[in-house]
Amino acid sequence: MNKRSIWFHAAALLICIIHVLPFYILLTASFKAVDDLSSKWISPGYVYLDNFVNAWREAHLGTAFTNNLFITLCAGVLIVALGSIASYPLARHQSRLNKLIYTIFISALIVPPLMTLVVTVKELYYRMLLEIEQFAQLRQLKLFLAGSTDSMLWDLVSRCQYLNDVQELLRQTLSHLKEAVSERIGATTAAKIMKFIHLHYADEDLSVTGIGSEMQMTASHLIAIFKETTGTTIKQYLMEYRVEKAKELLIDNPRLKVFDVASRVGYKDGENFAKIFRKFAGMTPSEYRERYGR
Amino acid sequence: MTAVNRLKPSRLNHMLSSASILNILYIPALLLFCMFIFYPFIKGIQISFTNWNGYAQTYKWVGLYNYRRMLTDPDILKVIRNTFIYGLGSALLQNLIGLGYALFLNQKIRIKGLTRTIVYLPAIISPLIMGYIWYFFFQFKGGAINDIILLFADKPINLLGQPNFNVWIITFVNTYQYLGVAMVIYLAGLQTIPKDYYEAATIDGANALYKFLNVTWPLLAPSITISIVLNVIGGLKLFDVVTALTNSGPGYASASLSTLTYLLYFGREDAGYAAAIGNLMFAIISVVSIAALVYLRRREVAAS
Repeated sequence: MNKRSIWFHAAALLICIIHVLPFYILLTASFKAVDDLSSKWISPGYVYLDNFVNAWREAHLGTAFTNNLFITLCAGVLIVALGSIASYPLARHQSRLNKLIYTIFISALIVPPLMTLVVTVKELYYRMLLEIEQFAQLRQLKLFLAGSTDSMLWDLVSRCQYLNDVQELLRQTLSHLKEAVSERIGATTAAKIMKFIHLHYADEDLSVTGIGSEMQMTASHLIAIFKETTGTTIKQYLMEYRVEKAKELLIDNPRLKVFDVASRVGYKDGENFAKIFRKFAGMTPSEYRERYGR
Repeated sequence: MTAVNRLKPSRLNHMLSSASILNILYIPALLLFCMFIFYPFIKGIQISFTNWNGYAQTYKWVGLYNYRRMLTDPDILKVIRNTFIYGLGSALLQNLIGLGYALFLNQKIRIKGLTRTIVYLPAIISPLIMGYIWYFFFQFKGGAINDIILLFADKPINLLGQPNFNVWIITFVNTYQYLGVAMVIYLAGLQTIPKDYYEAATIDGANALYKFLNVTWPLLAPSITISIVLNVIGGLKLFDVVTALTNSGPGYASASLSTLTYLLYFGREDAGYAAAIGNLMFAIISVVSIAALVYLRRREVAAS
């Protein structure tokens, strides 16, 4: 190699490196964790593939790719078929008409692409519904019946004939969402009540009204929600929980008197406690200790 | 009987080869053209005379109101200027660098195939994705260029936020993407120049510059015409890169006529005015590309 050739090769290599840089940055960025804030020039020192998994799962890359393939194949076949047969007469008979037709075809290049864009109301509504569905899915709320497919939502939208129909669909979906959300809120209210009981069962003054004022709800509303989501009443649950705790205390602390156990789980009146214990455990506290104690 | 038999194929042949019957062949393509280009285009002109918002059932005819609005629009001049920078600026850069690369990669270099492939590679990627890739370079927080700037200065620069500078960044990215196309057109053009001309010039004692000016340049004229016209049209229609890099911002500082049309249509629900801008864009592209075509064709004739 002479000197000139070496310079040429060096220049070609430089061009290669400059033009590959954006792809290098793309590569490093795609392998970096979301919270990795190191410079994009530095390659990550670990293998992180979640970005690819997320692209596939959350961005629906599979669907997008299938669509792309379909469009490309169809467009390719159409372009080759229609283009080749159209160009034959245009090339062979260059009459005045054909020259005009040729110019018209070429002019398609200069028509702004957005002028040919079509947007429909249905599409707008569909997008809104998709957002709602995604919101529901992320929170594991069921909006539609089980077994619904990806295309179901679009089927529902495309079946609508009038603007009123689409609006009705949106309204229905929103009310489904509202129901699902309020159900969920019911469940969390019950969980909150239970947690409150778990923390305060030893307090002998614990009452439904007390819990209600703590959670800023009326007692009757509280009872209704709790009953609906768990199937038992708050009072029942409180008693059960206190008895369970008493059982633990009886076994774990053999020296503790029954009266002390009662006061530790929130019963001032020992006899009352014994009665309730008997109702739930089927025996007196001392019998229970004898049978199960170490 | 025999006469009929002899007549039939010849008449069929005659009919098939006659000009008018063959024209049937381009009718399918013409139908598609009418459906997807011509009809929407006419519809667009129609919409530009209304105050339609893009999806309402009703609209009013407002005559030339949308076109008169253009005259008082404070952003429109800037947007037209940007569009010309995108169109003419990137066409100029693409053709200068593309021609340079083509001349260079036409030499005897062992890795020229690889280099040509790498230079052409960006052209096969969607321009929107190309925009996002370059966003990694120019972004304010953690951008690759700001990482380098931080080595020398203590503050990063918001490159995409500079109203007059980001236009050139977009031009650069568009140039980077379609450089390869111009290069390939010139490389193809270079292959059609007969070697004898260079040999003759060498015998006459011409140096490299003289050979370029008197052999390569005039004989490349057809390639120059097609490459410049295509790049000008592509640049004037630029949409994706602008959307990806700056989304026309800050404000409308880096908007092109395409992105302005889009923003007006879907953002401000001003379909009538958007259609009017679209028609203005069509007029500008037609005038510029036809003027370029006519001028370059004349130059071709003069050169040959």
